[in-house]
Amino acid sequence: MTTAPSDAGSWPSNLMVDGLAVSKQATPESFDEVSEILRGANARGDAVIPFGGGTQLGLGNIPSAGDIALNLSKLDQVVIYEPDDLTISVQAGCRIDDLNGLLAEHGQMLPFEVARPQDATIGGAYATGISGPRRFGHGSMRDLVIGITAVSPSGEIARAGGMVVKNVSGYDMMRLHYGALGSMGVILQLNFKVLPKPPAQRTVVVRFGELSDAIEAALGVRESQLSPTAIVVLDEGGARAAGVDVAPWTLLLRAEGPEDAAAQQTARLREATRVGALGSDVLGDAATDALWRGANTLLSAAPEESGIGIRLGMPASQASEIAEQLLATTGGGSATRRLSLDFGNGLLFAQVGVDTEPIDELRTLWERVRTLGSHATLLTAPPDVKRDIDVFGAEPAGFGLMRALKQQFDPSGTLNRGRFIGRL
Amino acid sequence: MAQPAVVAQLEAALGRDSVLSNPSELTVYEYDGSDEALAGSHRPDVVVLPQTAQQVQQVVKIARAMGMPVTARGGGTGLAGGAIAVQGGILVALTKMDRILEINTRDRYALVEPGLINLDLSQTTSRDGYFFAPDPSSQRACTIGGNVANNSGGPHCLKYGVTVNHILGLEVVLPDGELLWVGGPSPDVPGVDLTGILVGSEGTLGIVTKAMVRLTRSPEATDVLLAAFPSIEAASSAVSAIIAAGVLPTALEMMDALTITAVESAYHAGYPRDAAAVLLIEIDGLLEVVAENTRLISVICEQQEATEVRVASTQEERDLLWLGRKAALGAMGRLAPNYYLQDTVVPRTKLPVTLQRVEEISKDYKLPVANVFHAGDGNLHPLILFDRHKPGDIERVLHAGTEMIHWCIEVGGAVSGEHGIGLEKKDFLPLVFTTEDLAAMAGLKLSFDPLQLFNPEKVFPSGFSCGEVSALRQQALAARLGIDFV
Amino acid sequence: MTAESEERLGNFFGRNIPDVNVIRSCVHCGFCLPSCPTYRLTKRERSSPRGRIWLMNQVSIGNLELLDPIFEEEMSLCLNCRACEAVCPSGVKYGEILEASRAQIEEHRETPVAEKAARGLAFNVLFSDMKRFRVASHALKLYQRSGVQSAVRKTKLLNVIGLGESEQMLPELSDRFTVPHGETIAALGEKRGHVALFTGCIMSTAYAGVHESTIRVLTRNGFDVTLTADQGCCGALHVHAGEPDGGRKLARANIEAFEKAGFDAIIVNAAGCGAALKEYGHLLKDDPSYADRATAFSSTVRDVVEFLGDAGLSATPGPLNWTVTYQEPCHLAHAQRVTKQPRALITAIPELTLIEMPESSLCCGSAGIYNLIQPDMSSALLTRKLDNALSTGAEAIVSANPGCMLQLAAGLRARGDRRPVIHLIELLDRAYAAAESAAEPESAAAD
Ligand SMILES: Cc1cc2nc3c(=O)[nH]c(=O)nc-3n(C[C@H](O)[C@H](O)[C@H](O)COP(=O)(O)OP(=O)(O)OC[C@H]3O[C@@H](n4cnc5c(N)ncnc54)[C@H](O)[C@@H]3O)c2cc1C
Ligand code: SF4
Ligand code: SF4
Repeated sequence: MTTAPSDAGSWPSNLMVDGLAVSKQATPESFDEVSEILRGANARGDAVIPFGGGTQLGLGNIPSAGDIALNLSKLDQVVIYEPDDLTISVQAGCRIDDLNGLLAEHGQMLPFEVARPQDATIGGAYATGISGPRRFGHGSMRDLVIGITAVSPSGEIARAGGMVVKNVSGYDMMRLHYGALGSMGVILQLNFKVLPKPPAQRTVVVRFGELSDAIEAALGVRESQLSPTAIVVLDEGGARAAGVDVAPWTLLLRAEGPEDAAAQQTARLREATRVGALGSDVLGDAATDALWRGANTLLSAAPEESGIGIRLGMPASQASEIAEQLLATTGGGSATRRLSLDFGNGLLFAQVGVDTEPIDELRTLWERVRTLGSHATLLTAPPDVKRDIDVFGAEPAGFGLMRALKQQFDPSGTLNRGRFIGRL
Repeated sequence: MAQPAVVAQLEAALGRDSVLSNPSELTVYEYDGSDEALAGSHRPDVVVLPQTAQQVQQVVKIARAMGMPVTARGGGTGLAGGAIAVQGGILVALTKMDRILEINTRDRYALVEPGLINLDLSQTTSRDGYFFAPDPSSQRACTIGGNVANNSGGPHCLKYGVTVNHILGLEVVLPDGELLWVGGPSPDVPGVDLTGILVGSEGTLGIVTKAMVRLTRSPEATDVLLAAFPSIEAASSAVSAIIAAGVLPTALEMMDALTITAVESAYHAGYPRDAAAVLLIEIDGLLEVVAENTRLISVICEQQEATEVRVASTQEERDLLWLGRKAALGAMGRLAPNYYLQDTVVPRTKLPVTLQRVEEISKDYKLPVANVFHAGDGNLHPLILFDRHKPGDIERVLHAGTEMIHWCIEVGGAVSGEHGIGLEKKDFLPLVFTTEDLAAMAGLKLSFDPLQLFNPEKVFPSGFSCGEVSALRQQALAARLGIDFV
Repeated sequence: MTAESEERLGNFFGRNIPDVNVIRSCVHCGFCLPSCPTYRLTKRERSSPRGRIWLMNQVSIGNLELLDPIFEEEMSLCLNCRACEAVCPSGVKYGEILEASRAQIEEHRETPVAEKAARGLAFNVLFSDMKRFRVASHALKLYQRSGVQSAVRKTKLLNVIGLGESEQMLPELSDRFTVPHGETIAALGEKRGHVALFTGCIMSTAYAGVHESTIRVLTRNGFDVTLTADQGCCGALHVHAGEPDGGRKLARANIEAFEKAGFDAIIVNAAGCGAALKEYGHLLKDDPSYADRATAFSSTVRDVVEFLGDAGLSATPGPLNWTVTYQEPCHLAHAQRVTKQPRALITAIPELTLIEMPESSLCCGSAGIYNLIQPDMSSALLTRKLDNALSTGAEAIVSANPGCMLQLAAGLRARGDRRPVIHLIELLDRAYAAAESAAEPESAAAD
């Protein structure tokens, strides 16, 4: 597995994206500089690959060209933070951990989860649109964003939204860039509404022998009036990543709120998931943070040499069936597997590694699983696996519109050429 | 009047009963919930009442072939003139498409048609313990399609978020006549977030023919607090204090004395008539959490000089308190024949100064202003009361309104928090957005609707021509570079 | 008279011009639309309260002809059920401007001769004199018994007196008439007050049994009940149909009949009549010698359900092991805003189960003579109402207005459904009867 160093400045000058070496790198320090670089590249017909922490560069189709790597990590300022307004405006290169460190000083937070929050930037996380299980209770970046500044390949800097928590003035351009992999413009700045940090948090860890029991328990909690902020089922590999005692299946329930309430909810959650369980534990505040950081490594979309990472979307009620099929497909042989079923939101994350003849087996595996859910994304895979497939699955409904949008916002294909859905 | 040929084609596609072309029956589609003297009114050339998505599609195809504008209309409760057919053309009234097609509590969604009344949905799903969270005060009359188009909010959006947070997928007819499904029951469908883009686009990008909406589990416990304050300042400080204390209530609404008078004479909701302002605060969730937060908030209110803090203990009491709030706008008819409603938002810490400024403007223009609003979000609704038939009133109202908007923007706010831009607020957009900003938005419009047939003249300021957007972009860029680099 | 000297508001002119301030008080917020039966069925803006007010507005500013066919049709299609008025946050007095608009149309339109004659017969002859009304009703009963129905079926007489669709249910017509002669029936037990009973036209013929129940229930609850002499029809049908002058005449007579005695309340058991009586103040506001008296009269009028609900039952009803549903008469729920008391009274009966029907406040389509004028809309509403009512599985439908009861009973009959439709006060009466039969053996033992 390749990892990106924490200090983006020490990136080799040759950024590799899916085996493609990008020879030039630019590290602008102001919005106008970004505008300038893009305008130049656009005029010359150069292809630009923007990046922040480089932690999710594995996502996307193999670029058809890459002339300039646009490093946004120096645009990392917090522009406005008004704790009493519960709003913040940050530049795209700001790291998620840094941001939360600042917020925590004021008893606040942004509940965003990525595989490596110490490196990942807010802009990169927004552009990839991968979101962790805690959004069940708090909402995702898509739900909490209130404003954006983005620059077009021809250099215009445009804002939308603002610094208030509710706003319908003009189109929500924030939506155009969410999960669009930076192919409609380079995100420069994002505004969010922040949340009060709950005074206490716990995680209920329930171990099961059978997947069906774990799922039954998870669905039961989901349908109850209890309000965990995340509901996740992990397999053994997943449990290892999360650093909890390994059982065939582990149900994780996160409870947040006032001290007493969190404690009481924890007790009720334990009670509600007793049937079929092998045992359960409750983790306190610090352990909860550590656990979820580990579990969230399954959200990774980092470049990968030896395995694949998949995200499937599905209605929660079908999760059990789909998980069984996935197990059947990935079971046995030399496969290593890490699985995380995000029940609250209806997403499944799987990482599968194969030793022998990796390419063909991984391709076959992807072909099998990509039709399982209602949507599938190959988050990460060796370039050879990706070669002539679309990592975003089939062309989605509305692809014609997406093409029109790309044509409108990046007519020369300057940004992330060929990487987005349908090789836009 | 529509050309007979168009009417004939529409009748062939939809049946005679669903096509209205007699001028006397078209006249009732000239307005929506906005004040016609302020937003304007216009008679459509023809009104259609389709019953299926395919019929909507046919209408759009006919319109496109004839180059006629198309405007969608739901309950016609919009407050910004969004559903007014300013250029005439075809008005598509979606009121007959009002069925609930599926309720799936396991996966927490409902599939509904756009003309369904917001409250009808929650009333139906409440039997199973679920509700549709966006609850505009107009919920007994507005439609899901209108909510989607305006990205509507409501008192409970403080905790639950606005409409966009509750729309999982949409079926839409695009301006080119394509019928398209976007989104679905699980989030993060790969590709551009078309669902998110369509929500809040005020019918300018597509006509919603079905919506898959999120259902939220009813909370285990709910408390409603009524806190009375001796001054508006005290009430708005309490709002800031509650937000800053890190307890986020489900709803946090403020009403001033004038509003209390109107509501009390209409509904006898039991608001203290001698208070300068009341806060209506709802807290919901787990039993333990609600108990704790109710206690905390009561203490904060008392610290901020509340003269009375009352907790509604029965469902009936809660409903009565909410009824007064939800019907407050309408009850203004008891104070004056007309009102002009602003929908600005300010950062929450700016509420106290903003309310002071509103009061000053009210005095300056000698126009009474009632305040009833989503305080927790900083979303103001100053209602400027007037009589359209009094000479000079309209002009003064417009000036006063403009001053309020200017002030709110100065303190970092926005033109509209939930009612939309439509016709009525579009000329305020340049106060917040530069030509570059607007040009990017125009790019979105052109990608969807290159012929600009859907809901023309809405959202973008008068004189801003989406068609000339590339020229505008270049000019704007040159202007900025001129400052920066020359 | 020249046009200039006439009162004029756009294209409204002459007498009974709708109040422009009421028309303007509608801010077109749309809150009323979902409550409006004709809108719910058509989903057309013109058939909504807001649409109708806008049409009136267009006439008032001269943009629409008074006799524009769409305007006429909408003024007629409206049920005057006032559901819109009950939910309007701005307090728009819809009924008032609707009735004025209808009066305007009636005054200025070319009425076909035959219709004029029929209306003349109905409004000026039949309802204006209770003796004649009873004679006509007698004829009806003869007709019913003689079996020569087909001969009469084509005349619209039945419809005009509100019995239109009800041919099938005529056997339920009471054999007795209530003829008030000024007699007083004394309270049983401790006396709590003295009330007068307004007997009305249809109630005293078709539903005389309801009057008897009313008297029994009121006396049992401690009220002396007087059947005031010289009272007549309330005039609601006249006013609703755009014949306010006929209505005023009846109103004056009723005021004279009741005002001297000083009762605690004038009790009505027909919601439609009650609503009309409560509006005499408005109806006669321009009549200097009656305006104040009318207001005073109106202030003492109470629906029997409202009155008993507010006063509370002093005698405990006996048990009825029934499942019932309650259909809200528009003129009780919307025009008089009486919604809590009926439910309280029904649920005061031990062992009885009340299951609320969906859309209980949506009009059943009866609405006075509406089923004559708009038969299609009326029967569509009736179908919807019965579907809603029967979905509860109730064994009986309880209502509080004769028009609704006739309409519902006719609808049930047509479906071959034998479930009864009964007046709330009859339900209470039966419960008291049950109490008595339960008490008898006990009192015998005590003797
Ligand atoms: C008294 C009162 C109180 C209100 N309170 C609130 C409040 O608390 N919060 C709030 O957010 N709003 C409020 N509103 C405003 C209004 O009710 C909302 O904007 C509502 O969502 C509009 O819904 P509608 O069905 O009436 O839409 P309409 O007014 O008919 O249309 C609104 C817009 O949506 C478009 N549209 C309608 N249907 C479709 C469709 N199917 N596809 C595409 N476009 C469509 C129209 O073209 C138009 O631009 C209030 C209004 C009133 C009168
Ligand atoms: S509720 Fe009242 S103000 Fe609103 S549209 Fe209806 S009549 Fe007009
Ligand atoms: S009176 Fe009844 S039918 Fe007439 S507009 Fe009002 S609600 Fe509709």
